[in-house]
Amino acid sequence: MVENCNYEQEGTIIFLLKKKYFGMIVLLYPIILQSASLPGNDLPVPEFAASEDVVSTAGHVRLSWDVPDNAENLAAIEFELQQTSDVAFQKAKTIYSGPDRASFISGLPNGDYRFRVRARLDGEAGGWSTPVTVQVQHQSLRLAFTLLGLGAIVVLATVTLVIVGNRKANIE
Amino acid sequence: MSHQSAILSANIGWILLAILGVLWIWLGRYWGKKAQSMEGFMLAGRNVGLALGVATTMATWITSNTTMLAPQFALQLGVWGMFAYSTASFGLFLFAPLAKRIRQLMPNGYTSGDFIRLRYGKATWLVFLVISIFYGFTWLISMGMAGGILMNALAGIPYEIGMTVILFVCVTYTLFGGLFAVIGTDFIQSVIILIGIVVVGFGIVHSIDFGKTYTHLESESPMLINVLLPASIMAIFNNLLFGIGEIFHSNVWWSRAFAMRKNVGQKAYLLGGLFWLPIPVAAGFIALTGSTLGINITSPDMVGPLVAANVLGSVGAIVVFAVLFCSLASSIDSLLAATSDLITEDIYRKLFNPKASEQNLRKVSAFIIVGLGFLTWLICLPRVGTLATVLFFAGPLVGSTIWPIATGLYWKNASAKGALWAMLLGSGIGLIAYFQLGWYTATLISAAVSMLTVLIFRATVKEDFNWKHLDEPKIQTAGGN
Amino acid sequence: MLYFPETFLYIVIIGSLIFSGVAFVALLLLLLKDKKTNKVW
Repeated sequence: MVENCNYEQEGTIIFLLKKKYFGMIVLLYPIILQSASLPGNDLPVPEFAASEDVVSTAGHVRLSWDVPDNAENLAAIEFELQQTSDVAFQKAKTIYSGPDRASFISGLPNGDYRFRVRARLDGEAGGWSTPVTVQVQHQSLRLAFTLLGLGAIVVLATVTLVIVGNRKANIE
Repeated sequence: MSHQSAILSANIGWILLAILGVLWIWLGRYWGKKAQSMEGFMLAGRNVGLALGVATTMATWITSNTTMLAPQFALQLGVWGMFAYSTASFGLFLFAPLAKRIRQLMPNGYTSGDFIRLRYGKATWLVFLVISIFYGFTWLISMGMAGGILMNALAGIPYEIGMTVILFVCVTYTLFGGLFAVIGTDFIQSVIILIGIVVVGFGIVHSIDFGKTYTHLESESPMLINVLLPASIMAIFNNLLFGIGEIFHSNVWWSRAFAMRKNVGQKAYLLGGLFWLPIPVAAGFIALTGSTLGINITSPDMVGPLVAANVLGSVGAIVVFAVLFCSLASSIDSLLAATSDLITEDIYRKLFNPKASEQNLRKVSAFIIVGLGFLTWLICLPRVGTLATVLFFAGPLVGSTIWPIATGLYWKNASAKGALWAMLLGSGIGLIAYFQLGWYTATLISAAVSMLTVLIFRATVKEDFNWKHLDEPKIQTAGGN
Repeated sequence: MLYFPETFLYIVIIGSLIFSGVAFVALLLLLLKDKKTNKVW
């Protein structure tokens, strides 16, 4: 059967390849340099594909990130993704580490969530990416119940129509 | 796929694809011997028994959407997501009495288009055909694309090849065996799907700690087990009506109503719905265990296969591959057969060549199946992701047909004008709602508008339909009668 | 927040798995019955 499966639309960060502009962004936005700690290695700093902060009305979001194409050891690089609810990442927890370049997170309650990601190779860690903020604001229960009520009326009417019609047809 | 590696070796994938493909084509040829006459080809001789009737109902309604989307729903919308999906079986329950009525009123009918034409006349019929063919064709395209994407994600088989093979296999056996092949393979496919879901489900229940999973969900993704998740609650009836609209109007379901023996249709649809009911939960819950097991999901539509393969290893992956192949094939074949019937009967025979002989119709219908398959292949080839979103427009379109169809079958005073305006206004306002208010209102508003339109016309326009007009004479057989 | 209780979920999940198994057996039995009465097709 066919279903409306575009639930993800609202929460999904559109997968924009920004590799090309990577260098430019670093030059233009000093804030990136500020937030990214600068370790003494040349591991690339990954960048989220989202161009701006994201609002989700269903509590789920797909984060994806990338590193410049020309980075060394591209295939062997792993990533560490952290989530936090505070601005300074002091209560941050690692929610994924591995080679994938995307992660789907769901079931989040209302609130602001911040994510950052960094590259890892042979025990060494690169700099953190610019963090991205996901604002989860679930739709109001009032709207939900209004639609639920309207739906119930239409479905009940349809069920009645079929049951009554069937009964009458059987008598005929 | 953002660097998600395949979960099955390409070799095993090719072997599975070959075995299943050859099996379906062979069965299609085998059953094709029965499908010599037009009635045999289009309607399996109008003599399908209960077992095959139930299986075909169930298997057709289990598409890749069920086995893939149920886990995705669970992952995105939690427990409510699975339950909301299960309500789709309601469409089958409600269609059960309709199936009986259809068989009684139209003992010689062929398509849902036949009904609309005889009941409501040409103008309404044309609008209906546009809706119905748009829906059937977009569904076919989405299945073709899903086939290619799945084979690619599961076994690393290139998208173009996976998509081509699955379409080729389905076109070939539908071509050989018509509805005989479609219904026969549906039985075997339902059996494989059920075994697969039960094996994977119990395998996962066995290897996880249920209590730990629950606690993990409670702390990390609490909204998934929340009773009051707004996004899910508001989608419930929209999805339910989408399902009802799909089943009520589509020739996929009408041709089965015509094909089943007398007194079998109602029972088959009731049992089919009942057997379908647990599937979204049985296939969907595994998504909820993913994060506890530390499985990273890169894309929500792959959560089911990923978790199954991670927990059950290559055995799990093989079972999932077989289940998905069967779910896809059982829907693609039905759509090919039913859409080609609709085009052969409603467009070719009724509009262009009313005196066509049986052999002629058989040829045209074969030609249309191949043509449909080819067109689907051509559109699937570039893998344009945004095409899939077109399918969502089908929601308001099919939602608008529910009341015209149901009242047309039961009310003598349901008017042609009412049905026409119900479909036009329902679809139009539903599409506006889709863009202005959100997708989760579109089908609901379309069905509501259509219902009101039917009721208003019933109150104002006097009409008294004679049920006998629905019983049209048969297609002329080769012998002349 | 109001959660679906753990036992409820457990019962629903196990129940739907068992029911799917029952559906599988029922399908085969139905086919057998149709075969006996010669009403498969």
